[in-house]
Amino acid sequence: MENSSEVGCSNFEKCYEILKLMIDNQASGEQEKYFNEHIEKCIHCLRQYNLEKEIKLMIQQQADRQTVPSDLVDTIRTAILPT
Amino acid sequence: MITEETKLKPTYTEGEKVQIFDGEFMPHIDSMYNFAYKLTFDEDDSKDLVQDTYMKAFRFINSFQKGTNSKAWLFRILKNSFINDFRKKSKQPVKVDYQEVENYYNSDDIDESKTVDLRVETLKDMMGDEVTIALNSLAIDFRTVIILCDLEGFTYEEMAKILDIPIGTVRSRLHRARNLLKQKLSSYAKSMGYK
Repeated sequence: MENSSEVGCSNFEKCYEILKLMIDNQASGEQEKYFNEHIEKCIHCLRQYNLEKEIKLMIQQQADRQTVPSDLVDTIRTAILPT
Repeated sequence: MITEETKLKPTYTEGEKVQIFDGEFMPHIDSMYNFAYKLTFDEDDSKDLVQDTYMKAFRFINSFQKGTNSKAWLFRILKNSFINDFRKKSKQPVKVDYQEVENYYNSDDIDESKTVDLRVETLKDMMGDEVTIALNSLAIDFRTVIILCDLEGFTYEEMAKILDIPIGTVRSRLHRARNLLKQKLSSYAKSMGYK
């Protein structure tokens, strides 16, 4: 079993690869299981995971969605589709 | 892009084309416009880019397989239009920090994240839209992968198709983009005296 502490994780390279997949919901079930068990005892990876997750969340929350200009749909339809 | 797909292309009737256009293409106009805006940062440029994309989509509609991922297909056309046509004539040329791109593409350090001193608490203390400012300041290749992944929810596989790059490159580019973002946020936090 890997050694983990607040300052580091002895298996960080592997963990970080899985962490990135976890953040993007691309991890396999097996990877997910490994990682969730791992962060119960590795504060270093848990902190890293929380940081990455928070940044992604902030990107999503802060992103200002532009409203599509009202004339754009009509302009496109008129240019393309038969009337 | 289109050439590869035309090998198996269906031939739609005029009625089917309109049906696909309205039913499968137009519902993505909001995402398309927002993607265009985040590439150009200009309303008129975004409108032109989206219109141009839809014109191309309709012209090459026989290259689209009904029922497949129309959003990814449209994003791919938009990205190609932006790179091939639009960037050249844009009234607001896209700023590219070549040093930033070069440094990161040449970097072999797979573990840069260890060097970024940033805490969740610090992030939460930031009150404004620092993350968006940091994101918008990234070189376009890095900004694009974050937009596609985090804002539009594309999978790595879809992103690889949209960007015409291998999945491994998608993953490494995303990783580097996020590290750049962390570095910018960390520098900002230090300059503002956040602990």
